[in-house]
Amino acid sequence: MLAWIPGLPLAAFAVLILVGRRLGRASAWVSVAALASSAFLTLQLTPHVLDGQRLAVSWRWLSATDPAWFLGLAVDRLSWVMLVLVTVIGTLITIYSIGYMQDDARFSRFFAYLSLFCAAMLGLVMANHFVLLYACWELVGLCSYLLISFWFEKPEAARAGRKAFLTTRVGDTGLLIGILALWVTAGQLHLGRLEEIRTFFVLRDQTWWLTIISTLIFLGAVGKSAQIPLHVWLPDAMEGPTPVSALIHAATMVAAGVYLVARTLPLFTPESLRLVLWIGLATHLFAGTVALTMTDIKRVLAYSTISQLGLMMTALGLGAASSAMFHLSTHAFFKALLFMAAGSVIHATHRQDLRELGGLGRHLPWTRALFLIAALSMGGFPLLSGFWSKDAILLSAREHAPWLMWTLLGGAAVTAGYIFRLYLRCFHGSPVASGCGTPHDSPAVMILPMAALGLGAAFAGFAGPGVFHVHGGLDVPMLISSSVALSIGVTLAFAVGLKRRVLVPAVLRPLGTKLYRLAANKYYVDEAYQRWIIGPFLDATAWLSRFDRRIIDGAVDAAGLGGWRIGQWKERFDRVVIDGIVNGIALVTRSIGHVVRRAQTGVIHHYLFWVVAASVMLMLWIRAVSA
Amino acid sequence: MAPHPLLFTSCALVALGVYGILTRRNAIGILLAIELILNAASLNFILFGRWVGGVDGQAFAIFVIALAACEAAVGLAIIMGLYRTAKTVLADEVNLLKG
Amino acid sequence: MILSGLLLIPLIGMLVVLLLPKTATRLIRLTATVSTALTLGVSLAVLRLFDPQAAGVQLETFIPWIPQLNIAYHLGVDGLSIMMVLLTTGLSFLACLASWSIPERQKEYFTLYLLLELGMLGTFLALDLFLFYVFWEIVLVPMYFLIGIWGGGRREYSAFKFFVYTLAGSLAMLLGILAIYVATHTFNMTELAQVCPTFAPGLQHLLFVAFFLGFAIKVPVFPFHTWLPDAHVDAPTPISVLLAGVLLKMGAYGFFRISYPFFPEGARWFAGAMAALGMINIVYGAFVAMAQTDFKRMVAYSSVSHMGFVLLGLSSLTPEGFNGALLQMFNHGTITGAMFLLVGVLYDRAHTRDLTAFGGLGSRLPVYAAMLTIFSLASLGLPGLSGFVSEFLSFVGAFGVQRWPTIVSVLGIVVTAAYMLTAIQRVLLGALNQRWQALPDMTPQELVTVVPLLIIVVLVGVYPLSVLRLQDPAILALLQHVGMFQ
Repeated sequence: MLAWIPGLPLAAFAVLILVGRRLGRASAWVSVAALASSAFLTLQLTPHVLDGQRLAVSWRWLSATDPAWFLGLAVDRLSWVMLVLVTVIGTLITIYSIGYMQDDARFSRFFAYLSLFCAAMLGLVMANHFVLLYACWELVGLCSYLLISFWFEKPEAARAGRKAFLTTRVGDTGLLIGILALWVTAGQLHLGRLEEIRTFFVLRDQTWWLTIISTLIFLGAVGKSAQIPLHVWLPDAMEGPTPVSALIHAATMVAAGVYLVARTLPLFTPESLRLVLWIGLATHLFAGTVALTMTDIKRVLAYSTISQLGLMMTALGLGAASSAMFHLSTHAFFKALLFMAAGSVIHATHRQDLRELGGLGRHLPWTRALFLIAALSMGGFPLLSGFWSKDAILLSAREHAPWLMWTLLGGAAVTAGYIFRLYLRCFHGSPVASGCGTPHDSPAVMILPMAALGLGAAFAGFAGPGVFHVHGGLDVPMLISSSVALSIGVTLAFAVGLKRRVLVPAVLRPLGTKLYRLAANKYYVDEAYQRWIIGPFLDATAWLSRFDRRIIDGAVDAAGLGGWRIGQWKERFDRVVIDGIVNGIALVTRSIGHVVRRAQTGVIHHYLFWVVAASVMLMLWIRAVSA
Repeated sequence: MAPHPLLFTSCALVALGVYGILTRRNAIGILLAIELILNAASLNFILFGRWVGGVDGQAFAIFVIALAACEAAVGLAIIMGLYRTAKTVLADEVNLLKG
Repeated sequence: MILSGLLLIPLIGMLVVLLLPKTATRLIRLTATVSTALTLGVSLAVLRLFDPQAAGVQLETFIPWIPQLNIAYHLGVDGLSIMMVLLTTGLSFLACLASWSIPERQKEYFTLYLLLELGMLGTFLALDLFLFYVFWEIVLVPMYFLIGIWGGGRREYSAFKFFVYTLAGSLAMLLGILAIYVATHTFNMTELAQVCPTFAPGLQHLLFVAFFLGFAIKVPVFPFHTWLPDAHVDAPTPISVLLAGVLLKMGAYGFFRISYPFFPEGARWFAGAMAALGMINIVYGAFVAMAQTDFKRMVAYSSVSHMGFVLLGLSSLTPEGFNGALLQMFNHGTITGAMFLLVGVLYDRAHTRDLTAFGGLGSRLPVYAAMLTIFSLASLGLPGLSGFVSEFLSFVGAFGVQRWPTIVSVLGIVVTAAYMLTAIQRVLLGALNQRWQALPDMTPQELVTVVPLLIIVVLVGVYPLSVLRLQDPAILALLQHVGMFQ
């Protein structure tokens, strides 16, 4: 039965790719039906999973290895959470897409890809073997690629898709090498036996292997979850259709990295966890500051996603996997909702630049309300879902080190700042004249899924203690400090973002401008990569190609030419020496002939003279002999 | 034994023939000179045949006469052919056999 | 006897084509297609008769040929060759379908084509070293003419280069064969596999290198690879398919059939170099492919890169690595064969292969775009498609033994992804170049040649045991054999 969960979307993909064009509008409902059935199946598992059971099914896949590899699916609490997120949010977003994509020429293709993505993502979270996990890991990357470059007529979309695939693949090679190392050292790739593997290394006092392997696995997560230094693909990925951004680049796929680390946490050593912590923290702060300066709605949200993923990684670095997963779940709800609301704005106005937007609250009341719920949830407004999960992480940080908690609180203020800057500038302030008439709220097929997600964004936090075993109840000092962080952020967003007040003292203004420019240019990371990595790489390929043509092939041609030359010399030798001997003999004969031929005058008298003379000589000789 | 006087005749005929061969420019003349030599040979056959006895010598003489007739025919035909190609019958003006 | 049927059918087909009048082009094509189809059918019958559990040679045919020299007409299949035979018959059939568009001198073309198939099949079936060499050389001749007459570009140059280069390699191999014969007085490969490993190590090293030269040029191994881009680019499409799909495999098959079983000591001695060469092939091929603007040339260099996985797997001397290498040979044949077919489809329409001249074809040719995308993804090793399984197995096998070459090779797959996606982007994505406004999509005839390969690629990717179970016993036996002569 477990196989049906990813199997149904996969079947939907097959159906849509083969006969999707004929199905037309109905193709969307094939996809929705498949996902909804998967969601239903997942929810049926709930009692078993919450009892702590582990359900599994597997097939023999390879016998060349020793022991043979059995790939299969398994569901435990961790993967069940992801299953619920993927199927539920996936269903909602698919429904939303019916409205968003209604005029698209490749309507059925979109839903085919979306189904394939869900199948792969479900396979990824259910995989019980590293190889199957890696396979699905790559497949979700593929779907991400296909969906980012879905509108491939736009060159930016095509470029962004390729960039996403390649950047994540850099991380994936790390994961692959990690898997290889794990197989070679521990001979075990079963995800259900990670504790055994850990004990195996600990007993042999080879925990440095664990550090290496877990770091490599984390590298895969860095790529997929867009952490520093492989974060560059996610903002560009916003070229894809907005439902894709909501599902893949906010709620599920980018969270796969967090899931992977949480899943393989037994393999992580304190050293590698410290790396996770630092990368996560750096990403959290870095992306938050960039998000403050972006003017494209979706890019703000993209950097916000990177920042939140950084926060989850930070929690993982603290070893608090359950808080991380908790935040992952709530984040999936509110971030998906934010993206869908942004999509609704784009759908209504055909604009996504903040400088061209404003005062939309009146025209899009539903969108505005839902956006506000999501923003408050993300900012950590008390009792909304984001509040609970963020508090769980802050509490873990407080246990670890107070400075970390304060840093994270600063990050929370930044979070509130950028998201309310976005909210205020979109829905409040003066309306900017737009050329396409009065914008209208989106149709019900888009609003209803958003409303459902809004419920999740508001109340998912209450599932925390039950599902994630995180600390329940309110911690009052934390409540106060995080509320203060939220209000600081909102106030600054209002003052600086909306009203354009300049709060920086005049002395620091040049520095402020410099910092602003740095953040607005995304710290020049893209440029640096272009200059220090991609440029030299392309130069290297061009150089090697020339090397191949000139040196290697040149050597071959030179050898051929050498052979040719040798042939020529040999031919000359033949002509001069061998032929010379032959011709010489002929020449000698001929010259003798020349001499002799003088006798052949052709005058008959000469011949007769010789006859007579010879006869006379003969007679004289006979005479002499006989005498 | 004293040589028969006719032997001197045949010697004279040979010498005359050789002289003719070597000096005559006209091909027909050469042919006539060859006839002289052949006749000298025939005379010798008869003379020595008579000395030895039997008819062998005379038979050879008749043979030589027949042969000389054939030779004259072929020789004249060659000269005719020569005249047609070279427009001359003077032997020293023709060197078709020159190597 | 059934194996002789595999050789006889192309031979008879060739003779029939020779007897047909020059102008009966339809009949000639039909004869050739029927012959290749029948050969494919017989090879499938061989697959049915083949016992996957048994490790040894099956369906043997042994007829003394030149008894004074111990030369025999000796054929057989085992797990190492069965997939190669199927690959040859399958690709020959599909490429024959693709050959229907050959515009001129069809009679000569199909005669040579069938001779080529005969030679390739013979190479994979022969169990007599002399017979092997004969078939090995037979392949060269029709290939030379097929490139030189029906090719494009600098076809004479390329054909000549291919012929002379490969012949030079074969000479080293011939020396090795003669040395073996002088030492053992037999050409029987099964006997030689027992006798040759007892040679002195020095001799084994020498002979290994001699055979390596012969095979390496065919594979091709860096730095002997430069005939390949030229030959591939200038050959007509069906011939490129066979060149990449089958001919390159003959070299790699030689390692499995001759080098490793005959000279285990040499193989161990050479393992490090083999891994390094595999790594160079993978990374270097990928880098150079990245810089190409000619589509066919890019695919040709991707062949260099992909054959590196075979070398890497071979160098490992582990079951995983060997399985990966052998499977990679099969997968490369299907994937790259399809890539060349697809490039040919594009070239037939646009009469250019310049990657920079295209753009946006995805919206104009959706079926073609789907096919090209899928095969490119298979080529870059996407899980779920066949390329992934073999590359992964090669890595798994080699990682424990040749750590650093393997790690560098893993990094090479990023470059593979880069050039494949760049090609897709240049051809299919972006705004539609107005020049190609009227380009028609793939015809059913063209689809027929590609879809069977697609099915195989997906099947092997999802369920690799379907192929691996055929080759696994033979590989384990081979490794045991190699390990026995320590």
